[in-house]
Amino acid sequence: MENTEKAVEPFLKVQNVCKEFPGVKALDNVSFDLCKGEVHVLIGENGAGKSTLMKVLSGVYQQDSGEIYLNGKKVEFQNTRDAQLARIAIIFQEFNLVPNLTVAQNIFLGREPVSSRGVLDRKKLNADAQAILDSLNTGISATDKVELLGVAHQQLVELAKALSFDSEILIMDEPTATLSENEINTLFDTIFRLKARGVSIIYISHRLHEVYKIGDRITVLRDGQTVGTRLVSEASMDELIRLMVGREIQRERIREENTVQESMALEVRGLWDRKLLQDISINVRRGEIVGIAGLVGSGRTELAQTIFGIKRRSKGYIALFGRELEKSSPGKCVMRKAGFLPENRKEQGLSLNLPIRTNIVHAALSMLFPMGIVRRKKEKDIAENYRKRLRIITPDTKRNVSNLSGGNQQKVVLAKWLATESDFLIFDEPTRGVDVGAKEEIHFLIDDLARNGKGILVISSDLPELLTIADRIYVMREGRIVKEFKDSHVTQEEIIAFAAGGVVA
Amino acid sequence: MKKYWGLLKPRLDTLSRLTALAIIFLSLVIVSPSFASAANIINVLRITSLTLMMAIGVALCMLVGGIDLSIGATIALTSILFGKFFQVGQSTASMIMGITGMLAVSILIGLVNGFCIVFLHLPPFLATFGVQQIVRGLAYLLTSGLVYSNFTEDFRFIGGGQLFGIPMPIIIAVILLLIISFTLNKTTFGYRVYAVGSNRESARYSGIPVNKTLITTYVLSSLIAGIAGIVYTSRLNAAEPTIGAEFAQTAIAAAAIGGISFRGGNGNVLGVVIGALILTLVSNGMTLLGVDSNWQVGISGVVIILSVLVDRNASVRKT
Amino acid sequence: MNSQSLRSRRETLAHYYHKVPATVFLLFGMILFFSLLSDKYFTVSNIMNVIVQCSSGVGIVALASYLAICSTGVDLSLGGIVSLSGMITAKILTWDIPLFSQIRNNNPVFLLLIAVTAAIAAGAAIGSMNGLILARTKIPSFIVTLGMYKICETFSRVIAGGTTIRINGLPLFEFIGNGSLLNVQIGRRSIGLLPISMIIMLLLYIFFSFVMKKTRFGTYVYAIGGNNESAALSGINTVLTRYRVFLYGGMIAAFTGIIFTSRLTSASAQNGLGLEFDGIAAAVVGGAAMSGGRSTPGRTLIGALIISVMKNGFNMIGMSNSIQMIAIGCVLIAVVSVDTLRNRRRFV
Repeated sequence: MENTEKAVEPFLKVQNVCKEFPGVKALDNVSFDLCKGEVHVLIGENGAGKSTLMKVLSGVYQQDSGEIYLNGKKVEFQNTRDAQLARIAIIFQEFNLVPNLTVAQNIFLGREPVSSRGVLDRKKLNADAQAILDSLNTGISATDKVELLGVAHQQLVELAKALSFDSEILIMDEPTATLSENEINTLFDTIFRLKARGVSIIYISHRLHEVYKIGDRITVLRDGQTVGTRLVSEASMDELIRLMVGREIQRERIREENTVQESMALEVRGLWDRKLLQDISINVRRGEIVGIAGLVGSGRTELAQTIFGIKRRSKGYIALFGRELEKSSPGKCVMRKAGFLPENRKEQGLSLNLPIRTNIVHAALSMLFPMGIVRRKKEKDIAENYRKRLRIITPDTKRNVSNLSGGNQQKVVLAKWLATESDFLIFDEPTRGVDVGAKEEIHFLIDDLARNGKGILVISSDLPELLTIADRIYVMREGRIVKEFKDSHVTQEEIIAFAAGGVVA
Repeated sequence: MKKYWGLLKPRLDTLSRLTALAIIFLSLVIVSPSFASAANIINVLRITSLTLMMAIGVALCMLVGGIDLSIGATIALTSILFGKFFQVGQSTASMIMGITGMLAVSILIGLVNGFCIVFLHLPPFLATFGVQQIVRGLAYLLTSGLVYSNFTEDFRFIGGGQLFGIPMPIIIAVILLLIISFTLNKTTFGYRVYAVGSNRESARYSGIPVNKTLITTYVLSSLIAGIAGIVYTSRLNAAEPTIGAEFAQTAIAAAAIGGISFRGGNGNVLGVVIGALILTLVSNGMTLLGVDSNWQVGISGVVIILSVLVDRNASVRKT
Repeated sequence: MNSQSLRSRRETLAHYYHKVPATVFLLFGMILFFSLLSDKYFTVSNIMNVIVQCSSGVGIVALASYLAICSTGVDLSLGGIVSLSGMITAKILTWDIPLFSQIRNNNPVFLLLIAVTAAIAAGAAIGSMNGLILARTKIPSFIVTLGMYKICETFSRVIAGGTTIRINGLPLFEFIGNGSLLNVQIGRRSIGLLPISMIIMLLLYIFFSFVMKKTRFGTYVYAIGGNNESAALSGINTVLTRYRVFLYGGMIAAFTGIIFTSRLTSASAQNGLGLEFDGIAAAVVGGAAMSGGRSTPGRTLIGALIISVMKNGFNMIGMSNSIQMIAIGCVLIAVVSVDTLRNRRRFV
């Protein structure tokens, strides 16, 4: 036992690192270490502090206190360059590749080999890139354009780019989120190969079953703290889940009485799309709050978008309030009294440079003003009404939405859909990036809507949120519904087990 | 204080433009005695009214995040068409037929623009540029080298006549302006235009018919160009295919000076009026001051660049 | 084993097929089309005619347009630069001040050098003004270069002083636009197989093909056209790159100005105005996408040839200007539609 301890001397050591953002303690005395040639898996729920820790390690953020030791020496990263020089590379979930350049050009972008006269040495460029790619056994040609590659291959290019800095530590943030089963296996092969070369890898994941395939050790983060490090061979799935969730935080369940009615608000049967969704059947009744749980990339948002007609379905039956929706489009859904609050406020939910009151009437335009003439007075009254009802904090609804804080912006999106008086609403991550107070208000509001007989579908990564408000929960994984919990008497552990694939559906 | 600032800030651009306009106006009054004469002011307004008509249409396209390069060619083609129609009967009936034909064809051009942008997914710049080529080609094709002129008195009244001492182009421009202003500010269509221009994704998620809005906008732009074509043809009392080679550029310049953002969703009708006025005043002032006409083009170029440079939206690009 | 070799052969074939741009077929198709309609079309003299028309007109400007479009911009000042640089050349060659008269009499070659240098410097100056504003701010290139176009036009007009400047008695200068190497006698006419203007155009294209392919600058232009943010994150100086794009564009356009003036042996302020749109059309037909990062100088040249062939061809078959314009508009819209539809299919 003592021998092995000595053999795996920590290569990277993080000690008591703290990082605070306004109002949130993102990292609270985090300690963590990484040995040479080790795959150390970091798990934890959303908001547990994984991403912040990674950003500290890669120089994007600087820690408030605590130390980082590399090879026994204390290091401080002022920026990403410093971390790069210390041979730490990070691969984010969204790629930073230039699509119209070749793989080789991307790998060495900004560092192209040139001959003495400033002429690019294409041969060397391609050969060097190909060497890295081959060492990963990727089968990618260095002269292919990146845009012609699939997601998985693009990720491998990112990986190769990271390695081109001679990185000794690789940080991978949810690398399998968008990959198929085969692609994941390729990635794992690559990781094993890197490991054999002595590269150390910090692997962030939600998916527990993956941990057993590739991890050496596993560290669980919760609420910005490290709650435990285990050897993978000694950790059981149950224990990990328990560590992730912690002791059950006794959240007050908002919904006291179930207000579910008989009539259907939404009914989906056998829905497929071309890429991800497979044979999905769900339903939501009037007065019911249905939750959809699942990991990032499991197809929750795509499902909502397909129902709402933003993405095309390849087959399947969708009905709103008992009437079939043959070809859905957002316009049709709005006419049928259905609404969709998208996940990404700024890009999909708001016209930032327009006034609050204008944003509030956007979805309901043809309903509020059937003659096509906008009555400013009515617009103002509606906006004022929702400002009071939702407590949107602003001196005047004539101001542009861009002036509002995140929570208030979310309330404007809410107001926009309440103004349509829709009887069925899809909420995609309704409280992401919203502070605690506003979060609770939004929960009460959703409950209130259900009491008034509206059907609600809530997509959320925040499990306690679903447990607080949902009457029924579907769990999605890899484009399928893998479980339906008929009532709210579930634990987070059970949901995670299905979402992460710990339990065979 | 802060409360008022919040309300004032969005209007700062308009205010600063108004100030610039006032400064130009006042300095012209001081520098050139003949400037402030009623005749000259009316003249300035008459010239402005044509620029304005064209700029309003282009501004609409810019509000939805597009552009329309085809208006000059549209004016040329509709003008030629009128000449053709008119030739047939040389009567009021043929005039009315001609005007109807002009408007119909301009709507058709707008539809083609919209179709290329919405269904063929062409960038608006290229779509309207291509259509511009085709339309001007048609204009040449239809004339076969002829210039139509000597239209009837009634028709010439549209561009050259006066009502209560006010030239007709000004009256038509003001009416058009009021209609478009009303449309943008007080109709659901106007709201949709801003929504689509400001954030197309969000508009789509809100159930706004984005494609329909885009096509309607391009049709409107062309229709307005058609109306401007009627006024222009009447004022010129001639129809030839070379008309309006620089109209699109002037219109875009006026809209840009007036603070219509190229990215869409920002700007208002008042801005376009100010932009058109600034352009006309600058060139009129230079004429009055005896500036070599050669320099005038360039100074308008400087005005265009300066006005966008001082714009709040022209934020500095980070490396 | 067998299937693998078959596969690799098919891949090579596909590879070559993809290497040949579809526009080449369009170009040949058009040449064939016009040849069928007119006997005089596919003759050496007419082919050379098309080439000279291209190299003294849209050909070189298209290269500058392509550079701007590749970096997600558009350069409308090019026509103005052509006019201005051509005018400056003419003015210096004919300027009646003692200094220049003297040089003209003693050493015309030196005067020619001064004129050409001044013209290119003017192009560089206008280009760098564009570049300075556009690289630093987020103002759309459309409006800035439009303003700069007007400024160029003004300078050109002021220098011309309302007339056309004619250049007489400088055969060496005329040679740039009208001369050629390798003259052959066909029938009664002597036809140059290597016009100087074509050589200049080809040299520029070869040089910029090299720049785009073999230098960091070229890679960076494609990078900012493809994904500006990623390019900046990789440590590329995007501001400098964008600046250089417009600087080079101005210099390239100046060559057209010189050739244009030489070909006509005169300069008027109207010369070259409007070429910027032809240039954009050529670059786009050649495969450039307004969203940036696409096409190559070689493809742009094909685009420019297509435009030139169309202009010349409709003349040859006795069709008016009008059909020409309509055809160019249609080809533009068709080519871009096919491009966008194909790309959408690939990515969606």
